Amino acid sequence: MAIERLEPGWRGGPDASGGGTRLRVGFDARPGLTWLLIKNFLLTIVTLGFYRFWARVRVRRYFWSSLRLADEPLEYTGTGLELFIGFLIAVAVIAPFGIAYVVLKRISLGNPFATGALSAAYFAFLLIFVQLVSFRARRYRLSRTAWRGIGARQTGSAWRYVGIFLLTGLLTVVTLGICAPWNSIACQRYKIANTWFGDSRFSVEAKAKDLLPAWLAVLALLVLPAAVAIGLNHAFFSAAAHVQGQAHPVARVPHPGAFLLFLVTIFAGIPVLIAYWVAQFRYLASRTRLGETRFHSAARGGPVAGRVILVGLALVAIFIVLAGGLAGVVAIAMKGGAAGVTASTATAVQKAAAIKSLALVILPAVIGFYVLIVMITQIIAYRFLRLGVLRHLATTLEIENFAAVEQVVQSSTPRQRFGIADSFEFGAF
Amino acid sequence: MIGQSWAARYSDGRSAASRPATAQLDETGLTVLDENGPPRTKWPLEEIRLIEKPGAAAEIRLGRAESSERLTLLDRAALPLLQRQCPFLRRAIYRGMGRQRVAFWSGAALAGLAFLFFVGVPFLARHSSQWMSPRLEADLGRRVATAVIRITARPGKDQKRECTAPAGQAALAKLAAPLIAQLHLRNKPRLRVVNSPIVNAVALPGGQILLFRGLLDFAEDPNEIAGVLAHELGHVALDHPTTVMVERGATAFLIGLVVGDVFGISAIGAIGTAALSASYSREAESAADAEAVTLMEGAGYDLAPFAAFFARLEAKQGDGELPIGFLRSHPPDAERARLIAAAPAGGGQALDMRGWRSLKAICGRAHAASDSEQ
Repeated sequence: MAIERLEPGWRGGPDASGGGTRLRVGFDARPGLTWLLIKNFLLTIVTLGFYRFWARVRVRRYFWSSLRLADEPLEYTGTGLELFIGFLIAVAVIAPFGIAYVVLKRISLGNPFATGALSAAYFAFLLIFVQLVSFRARRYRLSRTAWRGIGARQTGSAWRYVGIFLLTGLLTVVTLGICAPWNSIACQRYKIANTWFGDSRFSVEAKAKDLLPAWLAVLALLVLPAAVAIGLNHAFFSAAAHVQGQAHPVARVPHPGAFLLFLVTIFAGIPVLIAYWVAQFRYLASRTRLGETRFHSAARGGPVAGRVILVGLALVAIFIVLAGGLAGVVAIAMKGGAAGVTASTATAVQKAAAIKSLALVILPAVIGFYVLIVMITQIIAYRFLRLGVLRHLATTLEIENFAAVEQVVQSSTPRQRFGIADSFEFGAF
Repeated sequence: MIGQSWAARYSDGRSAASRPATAQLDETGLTVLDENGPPRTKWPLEEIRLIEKPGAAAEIRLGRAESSERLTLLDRAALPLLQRQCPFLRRAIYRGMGRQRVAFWSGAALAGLAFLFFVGVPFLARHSSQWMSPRLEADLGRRVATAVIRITARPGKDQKRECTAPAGQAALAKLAAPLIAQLHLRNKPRLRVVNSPIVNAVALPGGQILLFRGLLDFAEDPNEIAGVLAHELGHVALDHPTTVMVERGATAFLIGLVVGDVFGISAIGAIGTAALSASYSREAESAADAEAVTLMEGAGYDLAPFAAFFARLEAKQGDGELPIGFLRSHPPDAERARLIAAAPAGGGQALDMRGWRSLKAICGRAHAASDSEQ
């Protein structure tokens, strides 16, 4: 029972917040994910990509059931077929636009104005489409999520969501990024406030201005060094120009300090942005309610950012090792094969045979390299990045007054009766 | 073993509560009882499902088919017995959607895509050159030609990618003039010779026609070159190059979409190179051949050498020595030779001996000897 898993001592003891019962979200990643990912990858290749929907379902089932409330797992009940048909419908919707774009692009090739306008129009279409699909895909995923047999779901209009995204996005662009929190908070608020568990609806009291100081600090951290670097560079060039007595200095080498500053900004920028993202998650979680239930997140940016950096470095190292191996194989094959190709005594037939055998070694090596890289990237991305981040976010999430969650009643809207949109959500992939 | 009971937790599917219970298995089903209380429900054996693979967990999570009820057995030892008794233990708990809906929606999506593929794309491709201004089409052709020349040219030392010896160009222009004069084209054809051993010629949008040096080396008579030119001019007159380019792009986009490149980014990048692998349908080739025969006759050029050209080409391909060439997807050479030979005989030479020698030498010194060794 949930009551037995309480952790007394969190923020003032069991009765401080009136609700009584508190529960930490559990996380139990069972063994077998790596093998599942390898199997999925190989089957996806063999089926020319068509297995990917069924692969995704198996990975989702694994991720969902690793999340535990009161020691009972979340359930994912979606199927590969649903994802596949959702994908087909989405393709049928995108294809006319995409083809019109490809054809018009070819026709207008060489006219910079027409090509630019066309690209802008297609970009706008994709921007809207991605938001539309992400909202509906969330609806599908929630409709396929259950705990103790009680289903979750999402209401609200995808078009309205797109409208909110575009309006607040425009505000962000006009204010040169300063108002970005209004964009993300408005979108998250709409999603959370339209999320249901059984007959109980989530609500969130979030204000973008609460995140503004943190966001301004992030902007300052990113923009100021870049501005200083540009300034340094400019001063450096003017000085060089002055010394040489000409407008354009001969050597346009960047100022070494400015270059270093640029590098630091880029590499420091990633963890800073991740830390901000985690802070936003923490803020939103702590402002979210489900009836009488409240949430509290103690997620920290450090572990998440550290994990992202570690995974990135590991991928680079693996890439270098594999590329080195490939280069070695190609070099050895070339050395052996080249002798046969260039030998002056060889006939044309012998030369052709030498080239053929060379290709027989190099081609599989290149394909093997490519397949290995993609597979390892996928395994690492899921096994170490997504799973690790999920574990951190879950195990630092506490639910206050969990007893109220256990009283939630199944929604009167039965499963799979929400209309066609729900069974193969357009864009469910 | 039948009649065994286990400690369990039960959720009735109406609320998220979970209460302690006892589960009893017999030949007809799994009975759930309140702890030390009366029976609550009974699940028939064939409706019992596993919610998740038991793995190493100490508990077994069960559900009832098409229902939200859940039962967690607190004793792992129950698993072997359940596996023996329940026929559909590992099936999915929900049947998913009905077959009719699957059929309807996947059918609708596939029909839409098929319509696009077989009707929409060909329609767009056929009309795209008419919607283009001649200037734009010429510009498109120039870009594609530049890409093709860059990829295919294999110039020797101190040679350019494109062969422009003035005498050779003059000879080529003289040979082509009577053919071009018969056509009304949006763009004046632009004939260019690429320094490449490929035995072929290709027509690109905007009237760009590329002859590869290998073709000039292989040809033994000016009328062979005139025939090939007439054939490519036929493609130009029939708008084939632009049509095929647009068709390629749209098809690549569609295929990329279905295989998983959702936004078709890979196809968008392949604009210049698409023309390289462009091959026309047999109908398009036959139409261009017919056009070539008309043009050759109109120009007063003898067709006999052109017919012989195909026989020699087929012999060369038989050797397997031809570099991968565009002519591969053309109709069988013997068949084409017959078509051309059926045309009335007679007519003159397209070039005199001096002009022919200039044309053969348009790329500088003769390459014929060095290439035949390859």
